[in-house]
Amino acid sequence: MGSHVIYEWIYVGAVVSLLIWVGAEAWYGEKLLHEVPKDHITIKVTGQQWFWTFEHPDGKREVGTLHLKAGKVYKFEITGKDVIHAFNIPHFAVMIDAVPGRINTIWVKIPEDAVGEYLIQCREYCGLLHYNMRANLIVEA
Amino acid sequence: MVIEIAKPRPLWQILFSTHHTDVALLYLITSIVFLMLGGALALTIRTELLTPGTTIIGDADLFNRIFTVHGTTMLFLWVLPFISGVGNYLVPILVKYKDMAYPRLNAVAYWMAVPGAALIWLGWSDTTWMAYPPYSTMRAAGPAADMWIFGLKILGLSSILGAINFIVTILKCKHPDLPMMKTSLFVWSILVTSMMTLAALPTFTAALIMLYTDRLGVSGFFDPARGGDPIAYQHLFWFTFHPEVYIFLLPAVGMAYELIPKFSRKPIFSYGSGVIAFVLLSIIGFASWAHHMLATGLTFTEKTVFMIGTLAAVPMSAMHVFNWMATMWGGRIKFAAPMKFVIGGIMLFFTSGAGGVVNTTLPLDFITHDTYWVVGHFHMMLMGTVSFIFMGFLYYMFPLITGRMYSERLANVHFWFAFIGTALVFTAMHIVGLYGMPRRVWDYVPDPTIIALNQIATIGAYLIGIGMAVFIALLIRDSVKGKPADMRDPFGIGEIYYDYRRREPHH
Amino acid sequence: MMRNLSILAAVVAVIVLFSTVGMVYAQEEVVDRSALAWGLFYKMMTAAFIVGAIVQGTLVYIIFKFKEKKVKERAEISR
Repeated sequence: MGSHVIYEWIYVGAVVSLLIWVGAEAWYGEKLLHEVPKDHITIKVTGQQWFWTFEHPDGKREVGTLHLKAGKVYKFEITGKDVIHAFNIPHFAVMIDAVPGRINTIWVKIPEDAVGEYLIQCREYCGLLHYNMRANLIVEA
Repeated sequence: MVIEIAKPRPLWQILFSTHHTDVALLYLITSIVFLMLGGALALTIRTELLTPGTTIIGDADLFNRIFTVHGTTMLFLWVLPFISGVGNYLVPILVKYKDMAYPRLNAVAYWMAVPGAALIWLGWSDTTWMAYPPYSTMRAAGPAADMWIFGLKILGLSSILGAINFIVTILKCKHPDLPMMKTSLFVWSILVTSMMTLAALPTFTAALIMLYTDRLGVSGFFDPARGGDPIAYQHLFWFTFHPEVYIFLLPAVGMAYELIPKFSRKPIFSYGSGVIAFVLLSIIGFASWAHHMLATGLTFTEKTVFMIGTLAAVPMSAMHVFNWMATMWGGRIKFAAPMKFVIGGIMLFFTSGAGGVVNTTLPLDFITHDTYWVVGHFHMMLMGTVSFIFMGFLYYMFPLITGRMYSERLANVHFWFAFIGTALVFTAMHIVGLYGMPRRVWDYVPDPTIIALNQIATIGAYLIGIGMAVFIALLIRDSVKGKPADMRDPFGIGEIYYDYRRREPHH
Repeated sequence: MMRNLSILAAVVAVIVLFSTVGMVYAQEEVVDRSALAWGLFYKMMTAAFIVGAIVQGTLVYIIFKFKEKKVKERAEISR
C-alpha cells in the first residue's frame, strides 16, 4: 500500500499544475478587462428600488432606457441610492454591484455591429420588485 | 416513537435525557423534519417558476419569504443538526468514551436549536439567508427580519457549544490506548470542523449584533449616510460562511471515509493524506471568503488574492476524491444503499467542484455571479454531495438507531429518483444561469429557452420530491415494522458494526 | 519521489513561463469583454469536461469492475 502513495502525489501535482494554468488564464483576462481604455465616455448609473437612472456626460438623464452608440467605449460609474443592486447587461457581460456610498466602475466596448435592443437587469436581490428591475439598452449606429 | 426492539421507552425519557444517543436521535429527527419542510418550500419555488408570471404564488413578497426560509432551513436546520446528530452518535463510540464530555451542555445545545428554528419559521423573513444590508437594516419588514436575526444568533450559539463539546470529547476523553493517528477519519472531520466553527462563527455573531443595532437605528455600521459601509457586512458574513461551506462539506467527507472502506472491504488507501487534506483545508478555507464578493467592486489585487486562495483549496478536495477511488480500486464493492449514495455523491462532487473553479476564474464572474449558475453550483454541492452522503449515512446508521433493517428495494427507488432528479434540476439551473437569469426572482423574461430550462428544472425537482416521499415513508415504516437487523454485521460486509448497546441509556 | 517532484516542478515552471511570455507580447487594443469572458468560459469548460471524463470514467470503471458479483466470478474463473 505505502509505495502506491506516490501516485497520489503525482495526481496532486497534475491538479496543482492545472489550477495554476486556470489561475494564470483568469488573471490575464481580468487584467485586460481591468484597465479602462483612454478614450471613453462616462455614464453615471444609479440603481434604486426598483429602476435605473442614467446620466450622460452632457447632463442628459434617462430613466429605464439607455441610448448608447455602437463602436464607442463606455465607462459606467455605478452607485446605489437605497439598497445594494447589481448593474447587469447580460449580452455584453457587464456586471457589477451598485452599492450605496460607493462608486464602482466597469467599462465596455460596444462592438460596431451590435445595433439593437438589449436587456439591462438587476442581479442582486433588492426587495419586492427585484425580479422586475429592468431597463432597456438601445444601441444606435 | 423510538423504536428499540428490546425495550421501547416513553417519549419524555428521550426528550429529557442527556445521553449522547438520545440527544443525537433528537438532532436527527429534527434535521429530517426540517429537510422535508425545506424540501416542500423548494418544490413550491420550482412550481412557481414553472411558467413566467404567476403560477401558484400570487405575489413576489411571499416568494421572497419562501426562498429565504428555504435557504435558512436547509443550511441551519437540516445540514448542521444532522452533522451534530451523527457526531453525537458516533464520536463517543469511535473515541471509546462513555458519553460526550459535557452531556448536559450537549442537551442544552440541542434545546437551543429549537427556539432558533421556531423564530425562523414563525418570523418568515424576506432578507435572503445572507441578509445583506442596507436591505436587511433599512427596508426589510419587521418583526420577521428581527426574528431571523435572533433565530440565527441562538443557532450560532448552539453550534459553538456543540463544537466545544466535540473538541473536548475528542482531545480529552479519547481512550488513552487509541492514538490520534488511529482514530477514524470521521472523528478527524468533526474535530477540524468544530475548530473551524470556533474560529469562524464569532465574526458572524458580531455582524448579527451590528445588524440588529443598525435596524434599531442606534448605530450605522452598514449605513453610508452615517459613515458606515454595507460591504463591511459582506466581509464579516463571508468570513464566517465561506469556512462554513467546508464545515458543511467535511463531515460528509468524513462519512464517506467511514463507508467506502467498509463497503469496498479494503482499508483506506492513504489515511495520512486524508488527515493532511482535512487539516490543510481547515486552514486554507479561511483564505477565500471574498470570492463571494468579486462583483462588489474589489480592487484587482484583492480579486487576485482571493482567486488564489480559492484555487488553493481545490487540491485538498481532489486528494479526497483520489483517496476514495483508490480505496475502491481492487476492492469487492457491495452496492447497498449507503454505498450508492456515496458514489452518487462523489460523481456530483466533481461537477460542483469544477463549477466552483469556473466560478472563481475572475472574468467569468461577470457571466455567472448572482445568476442561476451559482444556485445550481451550490445546490449541486449541498444536495448532490453533502445531502447525498448524509442520506447514505443515515441508511448505514439505520440498524444502529432502530435495531431494524430498512428496505433495500425502496432505498434503491429513493436513490435513483434523487440522483436523476438532482442531476436534472441543477444542470438545468447552471445552463439557465448562462442565459443571464438572475437568482432570487419570482418572474423571468419569457424567452422560450429560459422557459424550457426552468421547466426541466421543475421536473427534476419533482423527481427529487418523489424520491424524498419514498425516503420518509421508508424511514417511518421500517423503523416500526422493519426486519430485526443482525447487529454484529447488518450489511453482511464482514465488518464489526458500531456497538449497538450504546442505545441503552445509563443515566 | 524526488525525481517525480522535480519533473512536476519543471512542468509548472514551463506553464508559468509560457503564460508570462504570452502576456508580455499581447497586443494593446481594446478587448471585447463579452468575447473574452465567453472565450475563457469555453476554454475552462473544455478542460473541465476532459478532466471530468477521466474522473467520472474511472469511477464508472471502478463501479463495474470491482462490483461484488464480478469479483466473485473472476475469482471462480481463475480457480
